[in-house]
Amino acid sequence: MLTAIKLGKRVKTGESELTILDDVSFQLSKGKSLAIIGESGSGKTTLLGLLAGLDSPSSGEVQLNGQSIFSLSEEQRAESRKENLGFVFQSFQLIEGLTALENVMMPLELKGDRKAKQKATEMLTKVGLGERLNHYANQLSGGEQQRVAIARAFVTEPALLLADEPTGNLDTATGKKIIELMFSLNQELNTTLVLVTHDIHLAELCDESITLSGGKVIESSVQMEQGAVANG
Amino acid sequence: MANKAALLPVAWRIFKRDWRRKDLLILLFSMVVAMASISVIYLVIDRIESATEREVADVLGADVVILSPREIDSKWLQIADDLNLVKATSVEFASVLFANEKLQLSTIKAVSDGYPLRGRLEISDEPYQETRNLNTNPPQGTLWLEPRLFSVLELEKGNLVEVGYTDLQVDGAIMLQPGQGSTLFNIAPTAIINIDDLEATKIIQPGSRVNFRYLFTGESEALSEFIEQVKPQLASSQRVLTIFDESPVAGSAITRSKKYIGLSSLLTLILLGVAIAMSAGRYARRQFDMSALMRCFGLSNKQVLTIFSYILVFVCVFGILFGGLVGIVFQEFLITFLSQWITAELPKADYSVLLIPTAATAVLLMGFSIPSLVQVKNVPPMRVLRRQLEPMSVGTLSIYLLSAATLVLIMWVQMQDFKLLASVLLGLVFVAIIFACIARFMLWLLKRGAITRSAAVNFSLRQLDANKGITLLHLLAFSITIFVIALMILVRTELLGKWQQSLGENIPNHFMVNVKPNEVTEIKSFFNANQLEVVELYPMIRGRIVGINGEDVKTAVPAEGQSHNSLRRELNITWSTELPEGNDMVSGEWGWPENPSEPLISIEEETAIALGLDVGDSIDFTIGSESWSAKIASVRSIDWQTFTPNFYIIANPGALEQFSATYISSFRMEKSDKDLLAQLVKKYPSITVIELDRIFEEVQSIIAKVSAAVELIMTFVVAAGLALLWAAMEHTFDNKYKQSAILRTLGATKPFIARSFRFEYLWLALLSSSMAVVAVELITYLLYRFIFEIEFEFHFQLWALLPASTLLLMLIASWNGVRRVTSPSPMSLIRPS
Ligand SMILES: Nc1ncnc2c1ncn2[C@@H]1O[C@H](COP(=O)(O)OP(=O)(O)O)[C@@H](O)[C@H]1O
Ligand SMILES: [Mg+2]
Repeated sequence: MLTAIKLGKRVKTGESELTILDDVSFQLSKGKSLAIIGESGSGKTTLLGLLAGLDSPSSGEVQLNGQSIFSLSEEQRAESRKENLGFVFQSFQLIEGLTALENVMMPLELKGDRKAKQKATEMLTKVGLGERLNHYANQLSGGEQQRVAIARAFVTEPALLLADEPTGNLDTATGKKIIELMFSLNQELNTTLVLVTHDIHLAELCDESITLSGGKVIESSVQMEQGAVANG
Repeated sequence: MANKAALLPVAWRIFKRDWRRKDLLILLFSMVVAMASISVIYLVIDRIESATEREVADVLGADVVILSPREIDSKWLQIADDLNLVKATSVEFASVLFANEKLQLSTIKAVSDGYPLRGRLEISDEPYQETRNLNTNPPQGTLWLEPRLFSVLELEKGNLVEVGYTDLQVDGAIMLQPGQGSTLFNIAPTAIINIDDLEATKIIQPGSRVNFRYLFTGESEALSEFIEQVKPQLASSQRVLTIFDESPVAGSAITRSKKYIGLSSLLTLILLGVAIAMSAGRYARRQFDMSALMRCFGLSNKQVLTIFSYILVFVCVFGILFGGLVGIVFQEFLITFLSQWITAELPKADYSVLLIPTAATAVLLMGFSIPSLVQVKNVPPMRVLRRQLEPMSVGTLSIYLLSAATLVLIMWVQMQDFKLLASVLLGLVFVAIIFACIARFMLWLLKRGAITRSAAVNFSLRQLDANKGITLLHLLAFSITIFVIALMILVRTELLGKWQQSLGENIPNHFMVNVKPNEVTEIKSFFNANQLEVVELYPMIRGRIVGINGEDVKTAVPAEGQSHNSLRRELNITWSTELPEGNDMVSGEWGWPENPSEPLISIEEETAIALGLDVGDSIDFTIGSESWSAKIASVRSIDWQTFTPNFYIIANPGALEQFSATYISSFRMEKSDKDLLAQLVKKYPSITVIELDRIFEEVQSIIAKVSAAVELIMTFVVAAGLALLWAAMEHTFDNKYKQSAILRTLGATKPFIARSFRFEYLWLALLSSSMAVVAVELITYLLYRFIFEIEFEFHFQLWALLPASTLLLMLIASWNGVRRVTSPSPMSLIRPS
């Protein structure tokens, strides 16, 4: 379902060229969850950005449902994000000044969904915020904000959900609840999940894992089958 | 599918959110001011202008007059008909009137139906009695006479007067006629007759000296078209007069107010453009996260652009609605409140003209916010994962050129005065460069001053220097805005002041001409007895220039001078030891040697220039039937806006001994003393009194109107300036927020931070206002000298007032902001919301 082939990212810093990500390959099938583990600065966020097609790689490629995403135009890639992807961020990224409900409705409205309000209300109820629909982001605690963000990510029923350290700004107990919530929704909607974390305990909840260090894969449970590359 | 329509509700939601968060307030305010100011120009000021121009036309008696010594080509009248102009004719000539066995040389105007086309003709049954306002010629068989003719010819209403070969019946006294101001020195009193009686008088014979005045009114385009067609065909003896050739006071008031209004609206739009660019930029920066997030939700950058364009359109629509409303309110206000002292009716309001301001306002917003819009669109979506990512700077010169082009385009449409536009833009750039240099130097100085006892003071000084780039930007924004506001208020005050002065309290409002030499002392005592102040009585002799340095004028004067006024008519000559008020020496010195060997004169500057004369040349005059020559000893300039007797030629006392002079004077008389006039005229029948106060009333009403226009437009300059100050102020808060949180984590107390920030504003205020003062002095000097042509003086009151008021304004404006930026806990750094 999601395939990364020899992904590399290099950036120019002044004269020298810095390699942030080097030759990352893996394959993940539908409904599975993958943890990307590594210390701070190991290239996890960079990898996630590439998988989402938010950034373009210096080499290699990413396939989503067998479709190479970097062969698409920027506009087509955006369209593919709209249809297939959901995001959860470390810093929540709720839209200030909008209510929880309005935040969750936003991606649906952008798709032109007529039942945005109904669906958003249902999803917020599902994450346990049915009573807080009209609260603004700054009236919610960190855990609640992240639950809104999760509701917002799942409400479009994306095929692939990408999360960058979703518990990084939360205390351990709250973080655990958030992860449980994500996994239950993952199962319910049969979403493929990619989770970036530096927390080994969280990683253990996932089906698969990749460990990055200095931009290189040092450990992987999703070793690429040779055939897949050839077919890619 | 997210088509464009689906994006609309999202845009509306974001717009509502940003409205609640007051993010769009400045943008909207700028739009309202822009729309309101342009609407007011179209709805109100244009109408005031056309009303004033019509009033000046009243003085002329028409919008356009053709002067000709003979009947004009009937083709021209045909052109006038084709252009739907209204016509009237006045045939003017000198003739002697007889009655009661007395005679008097008079100027006779034989006028056609409809005379005067503009302005008032006031007739009373007996001189200085109650008048009726007429707009027609006297009935056939009758005539109207100036008051002096009543006394000289011992007439009453109903008497017969012999005019050439016919007798006409006296129907009334002419108390006010169009153009009275310019016929001031006509020695011969006027009589108005019906043009149908002209033939019966048999006065006009081939070769008679006659002036034909053809009067026209109509639509302004038609009039200009008419002038354009006729002008090239004019013979050298024919002239076209328009309103600006007549009343110099009102004319110059109108031209100056037009310049002021042009300048103001230009500056208003420039200030608003910068305010819009600044607040749109700030708005855009606050939307980067949103934009990146939407890209994650799967919008292409084109769709993001669409959303933010919608938001701009909302801002635009609301701005135009509110601004238009403000314009309409101003217009209603004008109608209800100002109509009392605006005598002539204003032309009807036409709301369809609002289309132009609407378009201009929209273009202004789009032009100045497009650079920011493009930035929002270009936010990299990776920003959702990495906060610090910013859009690549739109280093596109072309986009800024677009903004500039927008501005120039709007200006162009609005005022079509490229010279003013270019000089203002260049002037502002020049001022900005100078300011930037001074500001850099001052910052350097201030940094050295960071050794005081107060830690907050030192800290604030170092902060200013540490963020040099931003400080400079703010200094520029503040100082230029203050400069523009101060400049426009100042110029307005002085313009209004000058106008008031020219109509002031103690200005003479009556002229008295034709006083015989033996009456001078008696008249002085008459005035003294009645406690009226009489200005100097000047002797006056009228002479015609016939030669220069012994040569005939026809050959001595260059071709372009041949049509000058001074050769077409008799000039007023006086003699005096004192230089009259309002006269300034241009070349040579004032004063006469004792017993000069030949007559010496001082000549008026423009006449000298037109005739190519200078000190040392001699002029030959015909006075009466005799000739008289004099040498030019000096050249003077005359302020024609004073209502005191002015003379083209002043001779040394004694030079004109052989001629008999009459005396002329001006004096001030209030309405309540008017009875004395009748007494005076009864006692000295040959004297003519010209009641300037009646003309003043018209000029006063004109000036009241242009003043209202000037006040109105100034309000908008100030509002635009405040918009920009506000935008710049908000801009200063942006990095203070974070700065304050960091300082708090480092242990600074809230009051300390607030104090040091306020000190920063203090320095900003002092620096920017003192730079503004210097610039104001410099620019007013240039403006007065070259555009408004008024005298320059230093404005010492500004030197204290401006810094003080800027300081006050800034402290008030920043008070809340400083509280806001110092309030967040250091936690906000740790836990971004
Ligand atoms: N645009 C960039 N320019 C330069 N260096 C970058 C850029 N993006 C990321 N890096 C560097 O790449 C490394 C990996 O970053 P990141 O993917 O954010 O790591 P992680 O998410 O694992 O903490 C870091 O050292 C970071 O400084
Ligand atoms: Mg990271």
